[in-house]
Amino acid sequence: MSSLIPKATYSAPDLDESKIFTPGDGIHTTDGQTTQISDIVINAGGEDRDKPTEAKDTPLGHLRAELTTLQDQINIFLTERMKQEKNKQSEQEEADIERRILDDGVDEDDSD
Amino acid sequence: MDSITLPYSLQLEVPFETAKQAIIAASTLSPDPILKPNEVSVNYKSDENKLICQFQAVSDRVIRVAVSNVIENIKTIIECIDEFDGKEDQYFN
Repeated sequence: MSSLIPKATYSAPDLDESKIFTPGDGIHTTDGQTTQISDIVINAGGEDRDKPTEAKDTPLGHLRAELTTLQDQINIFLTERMKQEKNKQSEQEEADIERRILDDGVDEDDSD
Repeated sequence: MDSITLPYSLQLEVPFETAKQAIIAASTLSPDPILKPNEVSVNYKSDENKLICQFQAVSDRVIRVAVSNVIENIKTIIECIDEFDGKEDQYFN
């Protein structure tokens, strides 16, 4: 196991506690899930010409692979939070429209 | 920078083999300008053998982009150090 372990600590106003990211004990590679070219391009037979080189079997090589895992963890976590925020906003907008129509009797299609 | 307007924060700690390598990493990243300082701030420093990157941003979307870009740059720095550090005789003579 590598002796150089990267770590990240995230905090946001809606979180009671900070979220800590560490790569963990799994297999780490420089081929990140969230840093590849898009699935659409891959499925169309596209090739990632900027694909990173494989990690060397050195402490810094392992660090680079573990940092890729950490990057994936952060990207996936924050993307999920962005989705949740978007859903919350959509629900809020729907509730606002419903309230305006039902409580104020406003017709959205009425241009007058 | 007013931290109230940038409520989302992330601290990234990357240990290197030596303090010198951490200083090189911080010095390499520092000149890169922040394109939207009203939306995100990034501070780089070294503490012994660790590179510490402190991000503050206006939203999750902005902090995600900033962190992922900086990690990409750090990976390149690590690869360069791994390839060249201590090998001056091998490559430059």
